Amino acid sequence: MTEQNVLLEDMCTRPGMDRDGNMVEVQATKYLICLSDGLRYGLDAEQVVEIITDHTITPLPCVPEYVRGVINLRGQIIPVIDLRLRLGKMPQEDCCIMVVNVENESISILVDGVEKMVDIPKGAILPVPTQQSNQKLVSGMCSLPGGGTMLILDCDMLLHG
Amino acid sequence: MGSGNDSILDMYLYETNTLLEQLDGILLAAEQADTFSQDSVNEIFRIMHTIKGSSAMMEFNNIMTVAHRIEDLFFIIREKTIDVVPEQLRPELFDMIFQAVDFFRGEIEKVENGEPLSDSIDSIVDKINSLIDKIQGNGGPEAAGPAKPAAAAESAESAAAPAAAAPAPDPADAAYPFGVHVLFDEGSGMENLRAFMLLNGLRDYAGDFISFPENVETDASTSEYIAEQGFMVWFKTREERDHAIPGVKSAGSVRSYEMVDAQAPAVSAPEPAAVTPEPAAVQPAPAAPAPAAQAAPAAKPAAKTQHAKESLISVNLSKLDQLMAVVSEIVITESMVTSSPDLKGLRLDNFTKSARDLRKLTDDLQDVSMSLRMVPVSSTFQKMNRIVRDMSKKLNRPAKLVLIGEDTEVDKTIVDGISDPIMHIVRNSMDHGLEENQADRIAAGKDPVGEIILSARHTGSEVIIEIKDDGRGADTQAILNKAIRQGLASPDMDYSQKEILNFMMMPGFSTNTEVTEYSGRGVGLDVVKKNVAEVGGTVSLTSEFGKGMTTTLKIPLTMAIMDGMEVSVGESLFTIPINSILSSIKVTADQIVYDPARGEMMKIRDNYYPVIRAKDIFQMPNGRDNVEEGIMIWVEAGERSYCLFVDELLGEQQIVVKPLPSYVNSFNVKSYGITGCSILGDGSISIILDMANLYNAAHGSY
Repeated sequence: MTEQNVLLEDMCTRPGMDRDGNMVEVQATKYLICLSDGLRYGLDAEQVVEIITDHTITPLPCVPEYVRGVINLRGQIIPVIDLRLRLGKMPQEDCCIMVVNVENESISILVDGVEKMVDIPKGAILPVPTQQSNQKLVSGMCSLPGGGTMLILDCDMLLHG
Repeated sequence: MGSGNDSILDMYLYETNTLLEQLDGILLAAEQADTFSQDSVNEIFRIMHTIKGSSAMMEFNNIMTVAHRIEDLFFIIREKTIDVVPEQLRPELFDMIFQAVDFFRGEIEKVENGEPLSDSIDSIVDKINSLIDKIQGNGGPEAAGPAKPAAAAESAESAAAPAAAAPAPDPADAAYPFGVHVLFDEGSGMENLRAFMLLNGLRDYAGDFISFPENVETDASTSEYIAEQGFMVWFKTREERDHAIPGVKSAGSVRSYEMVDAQAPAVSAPEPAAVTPEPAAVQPAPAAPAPAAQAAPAAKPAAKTQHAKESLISVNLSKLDQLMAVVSEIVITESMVTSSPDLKGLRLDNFTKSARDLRKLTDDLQDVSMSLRMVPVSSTFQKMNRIVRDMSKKLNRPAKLVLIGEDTEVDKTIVDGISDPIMHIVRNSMDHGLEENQADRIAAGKDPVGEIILSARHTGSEVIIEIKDDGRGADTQAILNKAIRQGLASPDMDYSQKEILNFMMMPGFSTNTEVTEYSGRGVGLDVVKKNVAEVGGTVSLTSEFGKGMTTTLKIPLTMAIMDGMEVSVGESLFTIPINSILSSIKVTADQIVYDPARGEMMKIRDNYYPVIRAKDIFQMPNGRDNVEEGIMIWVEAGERSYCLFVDELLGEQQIVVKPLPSYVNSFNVKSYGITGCSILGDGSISIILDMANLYNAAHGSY
């Protein structure tokens, strides 16, 4: 089983400049951007453990459709949640799996692809104006420095919702 | 110098709890016989002495004081035999000791929970003291009681003399005949380290000296000795010794010191008032512990031999868990090696032979490591003795507890998990089961003494624990009425007796919310049911009105590694526990018969058994539909027996049970029979089935 492992750093602060040109510490959080059905979702990089591209999912009976099954990650059994199905979209073939650690539990999310890491300062995250039950999984949104919008994925809600 | 680091505290708690349980056992037996045998008196004395000593070291002074008083009491009884306690005082004696044990338990629990210990031990100490006085009234004053200081001082002196003489007033090395006998402040604690500090301080004054005990820096057990007998420092010459006195004086916590010359019959002038070497008893008159001190050297070696007799070792559970985890991985890896695809098709005779040997060894390793966690249920069962005794006294309902199958061994986590439920059920039987007065029992033709039978036995894959009382039994009508009143049952429906009894286990049903001094934790059989479910078991009730009630706990033995049969359904792999399988059967279409609801059945030998299709119940996309293309697995689970239809039988495998991730469990897959998964040799995942739950899911309960 070949896997492409990407291990990620954690939260950092970066020096920035304030209006007077002095160096100031700006609290920023690193997010990992992934793609699902044309939308960009961001996960707190601290929670992401690994990204797997070559995987075998063992289906489980008696679970909701969006729980595709489980995978064997070096002896650990980890459930796989298809983000598309979870958000009510159509499933797709080509995808990769992000393993995340939420509250000491490991789960994994099936996404279309993974893009990159960004630093988002705390103040830049805005609440989502439209509130539907699905979107409780999204806890905020922000503009990306290179253009585009990112929805912050709330992994806790994914686990419990 | 508080309570030391965690492992010392853990050991103290473990040791003290074990001793208290032993004590309970001795006391219960003694109460039955209404007397203490000399052996049990000695045993109790030793236990109190140990608890006293270790509590002193941990600076739990109230525990130490009470233990000390009881030790004194039992010293008297030991010297004068139990006859010193007249018949009419015996119940008081028993009650008082049981009370003390409860006190110890309570304090230990406070320690475990990090709560402050109680200061108010006066009432208990007074009780003990008054009992001692009453006995003294019988025995005569020379029994070194606390009462007469004069007589006591005299005996203290004579006791102190041999006491001081006995343990090494003579230096280990005769070249050091001039000594200082140092006594530290009472209750200062950690006497060994204080002695060590004193020695350090002395180096400023004198270079050459030896001490007794020697290894104070490293050996904490010297504390007790020093606390009772004092600490000796020996010098070569009188001048050196005298020169060092200021060093002794300025050392911390020194209560008194005296100069002692070797070869003189030990004690030059033990000031009796000051020098009664005693382990820091605070309130009671200092004279009383003198006999204790004398007894101490005798008791200490005795305590030591007791420890030597037990060839047991207490192991941290987490280490056992680690061991189990490694053994599990070995089993997986071993099968990965022996069934490696690299070896496919090769004929390797020597390899195959070695692989067989390896397999046998890993089997043995697995068996032994599993057995490490198994403990007999007797520890839990014995606790019930105390409960029955206390409740039967309190409710004035004589009852006896019969234990069957105490030696049955069960995984430790299970024993821990069922302790509370069993306690609750026993209490229920005493409280609500047994008739209120003996007259009722006699009228019903029963023995006036109620009987509760607690039994445990194995059935291969489960352990079955039964609590049976011969009391009133359940009044199903009354229960049904109450259930209807509480909205748990509907007045128009008919319920079977089993269903009615089940109402008792529903939340909100509890009969009386009586919180006794023994429990405050959760009331109601629903909590019992929950706790038993947490260790994977089930609770069922049966009863006959007027005859009694039986509560049955069925708990599957946790098998981290188990033998399973691999089967396939479509592209999925499932594992069926070998223990559940009776046989596998190939069928033809005409062997399947139908019931009016088109449910399938087949006949095996003389009975019909329901057929469950795995593909259907799990709603799987792929899988064989034609019965002639698949295979029937005839299984038995609990009371159910049925046939599971699957595609193929792949073979027997030893598998490691991996629990399902809790996220998956949150979808209640367990109730469908999906109880875990395992990783096979080639890395693929197989789903482990629980045949009982599977049946229930297919057919509903009952």
